Amino acid sequence: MIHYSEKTLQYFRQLTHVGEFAKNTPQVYTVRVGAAHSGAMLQLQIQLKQRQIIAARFKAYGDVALLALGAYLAQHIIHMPVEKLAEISKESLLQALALPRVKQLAAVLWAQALREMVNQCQSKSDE
Amino acid sequence: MRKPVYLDYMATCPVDPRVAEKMQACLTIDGNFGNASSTHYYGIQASRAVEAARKQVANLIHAKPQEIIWTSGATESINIALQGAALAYQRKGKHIITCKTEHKAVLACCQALARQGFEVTYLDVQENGLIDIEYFQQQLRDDTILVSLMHVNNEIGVIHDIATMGEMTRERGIIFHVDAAQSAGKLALDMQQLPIDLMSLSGHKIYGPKGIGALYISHEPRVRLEPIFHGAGQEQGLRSSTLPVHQIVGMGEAFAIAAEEREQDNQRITAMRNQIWEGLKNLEGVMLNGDLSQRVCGNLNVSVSNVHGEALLYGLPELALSSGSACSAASHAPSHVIKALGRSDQVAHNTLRISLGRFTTQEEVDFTLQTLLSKITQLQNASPI
Repeated sequence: MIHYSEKTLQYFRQLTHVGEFAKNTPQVYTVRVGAAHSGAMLQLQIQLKQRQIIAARFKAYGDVALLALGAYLAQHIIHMPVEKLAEISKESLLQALALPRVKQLAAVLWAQALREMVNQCQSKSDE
Repeated sequence: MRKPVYLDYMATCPVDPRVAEKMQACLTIDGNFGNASSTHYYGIQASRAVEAARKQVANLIHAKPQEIIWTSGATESINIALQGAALAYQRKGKHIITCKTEHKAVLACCQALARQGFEVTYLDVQENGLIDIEYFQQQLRDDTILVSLMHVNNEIGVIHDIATMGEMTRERGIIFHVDAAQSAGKLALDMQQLPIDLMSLSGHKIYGPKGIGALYISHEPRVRLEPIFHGAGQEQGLRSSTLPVHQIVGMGEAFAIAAEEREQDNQRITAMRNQIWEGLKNLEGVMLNGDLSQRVCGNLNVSVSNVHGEALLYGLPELALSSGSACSAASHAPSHVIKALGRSDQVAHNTLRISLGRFTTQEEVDFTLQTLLSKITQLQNASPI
């Protein structure tokens, strides 16, 4: 068994911001990363208003680290300009919840999701 | 703080208070603390206690006391049996058979023997976790010297037909080793009837202490083992070491209690296990791993679709369970047992083992079911799949 930090367990057990936005919600962007067969898959949704994140929702299938990071991120990215998401690195996620190195896959996937989100918002605004 | 409900009896059992009482009487100056090899009063008293315990263990499996040797646990018994038999019979052949769903103690031992030049066949199991008897028979060869199978699987609890497979090995003069760590004290074991040559036993899976086990070595027919330990020659020269009298007395008492109470324990535990399964089985995405009818009393092993086993375990701090996936934190590797049933990686990741025992109460079972249902639903709702 992994000894997770109290902070990780707190986010995991409270598990806030879980779910999806209603289909007709305006300015919602969605990314999905990972694969069920590898034991880790996540979905992140953000709602924007003038390039700023005003709400976030997530879903995750995977270990404690993946779910806890989802709850942590969904809480912390609100009010952030969307471009700032690309600055959140794997290392900063590991540090934020004091995750052990053996659990870095969760941080890698969430960092990837954030980069993809920025790209998606960028390409949609270019259109 | 209320302690979590203990539902991990297949990992280990608490020592029965009656066992602990007997063990305590073997520790201090006013008790039976001597070295069982000493020739003075204290040694003789200790030796008598050791032999009484040997008889208690032998009685449970209907063996002769001289067919039992003490070890530090089932893993050591398995190593003495497999390595000892392979080395003793290697002139006859070098082929060994075991099964893909065996405990790591057997699999790792067979891998070590393979590195020494033995050829090992790892049997597949059917979707229900059991070995097809005809398929088993087809794998036996003229150069097969040893077959090692577990009686009850430690993850999914299924009961292998060791009587039939033992008959097949005995007809061909093949040594048959059975890992009975999870079955002794739960299922009937009669060495007068069963064609078993070697059998590994554990103390702590049957409400005895940890750090003690035994190996049954048949005298009729007589089985030869090459010693893999060397020392002062205790335990028929197969396991040299000063005997831990308090541990041995504890294991003996645990086996004696099991002989008396096995049937009533099984009845009560089976009813509680079935109650949990009845409550879980209608939940969407819940599937049972392993055959339900050929299954040891306290075991349930379920996969819950779209919910990772680790998340479920940590999400249930009120319950002390294990992930049947034996999921290594570093490797994310799913359970080799669940994979051998033909389940996908995803299903193997989503596994939970619930094991009940002698001290599980009805109130705990009611609480467990309610808690499981609520957490599974919450995590399924959080899944993007």
